[in-house]
Amino acid sequence: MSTGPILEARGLAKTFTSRRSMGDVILRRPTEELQALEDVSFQVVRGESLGIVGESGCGKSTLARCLVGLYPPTSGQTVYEGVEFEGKRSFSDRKKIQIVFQDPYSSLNARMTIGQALREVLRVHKVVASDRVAARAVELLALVGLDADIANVYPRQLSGGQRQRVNIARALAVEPEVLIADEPVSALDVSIQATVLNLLASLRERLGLTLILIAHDLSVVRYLCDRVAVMYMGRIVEIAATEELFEDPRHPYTRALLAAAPSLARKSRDDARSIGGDPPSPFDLPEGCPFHPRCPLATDHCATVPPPLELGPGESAHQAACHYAWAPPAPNHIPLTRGEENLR
Amino acid sequence: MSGPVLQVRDLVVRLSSPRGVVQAVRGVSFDVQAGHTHGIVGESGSGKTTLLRSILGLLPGNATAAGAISVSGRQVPLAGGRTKAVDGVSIVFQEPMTALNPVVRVGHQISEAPRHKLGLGRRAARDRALELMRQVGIPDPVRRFDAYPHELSGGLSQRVLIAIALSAEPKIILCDEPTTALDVTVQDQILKLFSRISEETGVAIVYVTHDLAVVAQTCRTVSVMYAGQFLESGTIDAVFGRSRHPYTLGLLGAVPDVSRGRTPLVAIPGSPPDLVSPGKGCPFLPRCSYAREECSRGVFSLRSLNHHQSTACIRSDALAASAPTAEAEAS
Repeated sequence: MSTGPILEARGLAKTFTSRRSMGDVILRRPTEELQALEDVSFQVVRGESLGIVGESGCGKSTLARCLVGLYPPTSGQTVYEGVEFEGKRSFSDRKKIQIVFQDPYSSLNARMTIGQALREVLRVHKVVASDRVAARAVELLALVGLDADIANVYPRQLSGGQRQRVNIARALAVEPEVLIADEPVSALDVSIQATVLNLLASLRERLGLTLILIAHDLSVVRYLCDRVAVMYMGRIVEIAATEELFEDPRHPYTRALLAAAPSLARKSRDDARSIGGDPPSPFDLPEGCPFHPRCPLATDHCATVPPPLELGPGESAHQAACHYAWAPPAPNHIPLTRGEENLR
Repeated sequence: MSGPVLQVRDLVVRLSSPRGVVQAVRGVSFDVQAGHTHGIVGESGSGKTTLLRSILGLLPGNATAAGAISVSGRQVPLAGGRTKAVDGVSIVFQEPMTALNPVVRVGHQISEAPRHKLGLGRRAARDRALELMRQVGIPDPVRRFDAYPHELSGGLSQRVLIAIALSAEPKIILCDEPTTALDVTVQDQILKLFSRISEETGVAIVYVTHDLAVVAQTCRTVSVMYAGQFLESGTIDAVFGRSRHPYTLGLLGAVPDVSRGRTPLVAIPGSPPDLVSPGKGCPFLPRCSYAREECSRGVFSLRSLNHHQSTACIRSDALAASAPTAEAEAS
């Protein structure tokens, strides 16, 4: 077994161009470009679970799709066990990384029984000998804690939690090394969420899976992940071991996210750290640091120079993309004042 | 101050459906005082939305209801199929984008109620709308008055909806998961706005959500709804800190929390009962680990433990003795 990272993103970038109407072409309006991902790099070691959090539109789902190979990145590479994926992925490459989507209602074929859906994957990918296919499908259901008779049932007869288990079973059918879960519980009822989260935790342990969990909910990530990356406007702004990130966040955006997350255990609101305003339009990103218009620490320096994702001074691999993550602003930088309306 | 603004007494709502009669709300009673925020937590299918529609006086045509609801002393009609909400009650929905009319400028949507309900002239209604937009923290209201909903972000649309809810000078605002579709930092802003509004205007807020943490941070009192009934009611500290119902305890143990590390989550086994034939006894019985034989008999309604808390669990004493978990979490 290699000791290097199992999966690595090297400078992944993804730009979407807006659809142009006939009128746009005739009038030679420029195409609008949406930078969904910009220079995203990180490594995941075997057996680790990495959480990726951020608000809607921050690029976390685009990142997941680039890693699985559903979107070709505009630049940068996905590296698997030291080997780059090039161009369209081969059949065997695709087996290595699998994904579970958010909505358990639309990600299963309504006209196939659960058994048919699982057996199809097993046959197409020739995972087991053809006479073993049916038995393996039942084993997969057992693996995710479902009864064998579920195989004869259509998706509409199952609850959301059961469907999400089927989705996990289907992803695991090809025996992947890396499982990417894109908001696996956000469409489920609260009392059901725990069953799916606990299932992911136990599968990771039993099968030695590497898990990349994408979520907007910080509590879910804190529960399941060893390390967490925080994304804002297509960039990773902070990445650190989970406890370190939650106890000692260095990026002002991470602090704002933590302060805004409602909690049962914390009574008083942390008003000092909360922020105003909305995220900027991804078509029209501010110059410099993308967070500076909402940032309480921003100076004129932030408005011009984008901060790189840099390691902190400590022993741990704590990285943050903020000029002032570890040092206060230099005296020659003037704090930016924002309109009061943003802060209400 | 004179009595509660909202009084709900023994509300029962039945909805006829092709599968049979769904007992959506089964004997709910509660009061909300002016300026207070009352939370109702429940999972999907627990009857939260039907309860809200009853308070608005907008039950669907297939509904039959019994019991009584009064808003500042006036009875709310409980007939099904009505199309006009009762005066004094407004609602803020979950999806700000779909709740707004996409082809009407937002300013006109806000000034509609002042013009038609309060009888203000065009100019006065416009001024009132601008004032409301300022009150809910919409930057640059004069420019935003002429915007269409698609030009606004999710957070701004939700502020517009709140302005519309406030525009008819309600006594009660009902909130149906108003921040579920929003990002956390924006959710935080909206929750603060609700607190400020209830302080400034004295409006009562009924806040319905599935998110326990949101309720804990915005409401003074809370009811836990399950299978059309309230299983537990009381102050936030009492219900979330010293719960005396296994379902509330189950929910508290099943949700991860940002401030908590890897305390193992315990899922609640099973699923909620079918409300076409909910069966006898305690509705939570099939999923309850504290259940005894006596739980399968009789009617379970809230009974008061002290003036902070009431529960529908008949084994709450046994629960108090054997449930140290919530206590430890609260400390």
